[in-house]
Amino acid sequence: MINTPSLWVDRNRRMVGNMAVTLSGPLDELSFRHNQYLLGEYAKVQLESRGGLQFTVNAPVSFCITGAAVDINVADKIYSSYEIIPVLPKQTVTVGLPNCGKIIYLCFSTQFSLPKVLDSTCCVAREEFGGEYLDGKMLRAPYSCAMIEPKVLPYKNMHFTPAWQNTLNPNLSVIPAYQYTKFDVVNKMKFTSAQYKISSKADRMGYRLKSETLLETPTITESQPIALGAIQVPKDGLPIVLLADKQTTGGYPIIGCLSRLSITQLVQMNDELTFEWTEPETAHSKWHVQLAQDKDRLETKN
Amino acid sequence: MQITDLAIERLNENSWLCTPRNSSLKVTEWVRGLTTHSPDWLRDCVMVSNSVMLVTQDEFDPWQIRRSIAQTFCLIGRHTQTSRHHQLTIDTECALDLDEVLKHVAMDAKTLYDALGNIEFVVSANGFAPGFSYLSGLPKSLHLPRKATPRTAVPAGSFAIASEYAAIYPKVSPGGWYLLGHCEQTLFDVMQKPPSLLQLGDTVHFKFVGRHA
Repeated sequence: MINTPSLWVDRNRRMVGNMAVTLSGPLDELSFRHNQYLLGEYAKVQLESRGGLQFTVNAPVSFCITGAAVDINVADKIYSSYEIIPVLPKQTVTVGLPNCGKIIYLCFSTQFSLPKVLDSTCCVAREEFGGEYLDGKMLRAPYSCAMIEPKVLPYKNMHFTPAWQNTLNPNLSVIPAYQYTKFDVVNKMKFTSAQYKISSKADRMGYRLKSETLLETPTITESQPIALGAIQVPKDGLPIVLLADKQTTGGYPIIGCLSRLSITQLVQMNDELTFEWTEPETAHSKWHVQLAQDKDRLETKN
Repeated sequence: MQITDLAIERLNENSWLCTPRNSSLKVTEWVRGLTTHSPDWLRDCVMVSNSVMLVTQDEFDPWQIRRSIAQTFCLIGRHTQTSRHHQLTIDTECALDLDEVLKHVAMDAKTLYDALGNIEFVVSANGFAPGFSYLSGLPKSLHLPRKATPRTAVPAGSFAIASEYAAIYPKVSPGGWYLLGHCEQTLFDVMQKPPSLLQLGDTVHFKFVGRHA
């Protein structure tokens, strides 16, 4: 049973931008990597979901959920995220809606037989290709897929809390880029002093933000390639953060790019947020420090 | 081409915007080389309006970016596949914006289509949507500003012009270009290798048929 938008994701698309095809991949790359640290090769493809799932298996296998905190019911026993959980045939697994965070990554200790387009299981609605039905659409119930050589791993509780769960009202890091120098000082200050919330127009392509503060934008005449996390400011003055399924090019002014670590906070949290400037070297270093810390905590215990 | 010919801006942790300082540089040939023989450190490459974004693999050392880019210049000319020439037929029967364009350019329909039919367009970028190629080569007299109010749904296969480009919409999408005909040919099929019929640097000639040609 699939009650929320769910899809298989991987990081296998490569060299597709020259065809105006987006790289796609997980929205929260950090949580996706957590499963890779826990389940290794099995975690190349994972199910990205907003929870509210129910499934059974036809052979013994283990699974793990990373990202948002959810309750997981397996044969009336309650587990939670960041536990490696064995499951047997005829046992029903129910995954609740997130208690904290928004997106979960479900990974099994098995390979799956999944359709691939451009070497990837990713699907992008706007592109109308990829995914289970090859048309870019997300999974819909009833859904089943074949496991290949499932393996049962011993139960483990990693007692792990993602770093973003310890943050309230995050101050997200933005790398000055693109038309940063064309935004005047006043509007750059407005940008970093405004309180933003995520609007209802938020999907895998981008999150439109809302605020009482509106930015005045410079004019640009030519399209430009769009990087992950680019913050476009259209004429209405409200920023849009472009995410995994973004278009490859765009014609709106861009004030900077959200750091990768901040992208994971943005997509998991629902609090008010603010922005601060950071250098690309600092953002790069923080990302790799976080990866190394999490890898150390998750991989060494496996 | 030399590394000093490119202005390189770091956009985020692993994306780099390369803009040529000199418009005569062989950027298209360089990008063709990058896409056909991509180095291991390169994850993606997007070119539009003569600027090129390179996305590097996660393990790539950012301090090596200039040296790594410089090493790819040997791909220019030496390794690129030869560009192909395409002839595409455009039916002018459904030229929804013909009257508006004729007013702008002060021509009659036959003169307009004759002029368009004599141009050898070059695929100068792929962007906006899979299979959407920006075709450069329009003379200044046919450069039109985008429509003030874009259409919410441009029919798939529409041949259109705006600014200094011509293009064919591969599927139904919003768009503010002027529609001057329809092309039956499939330009993007994700199950083909390569999926895009029109590759960067390819040339295109249009043959206009139908009532207005």
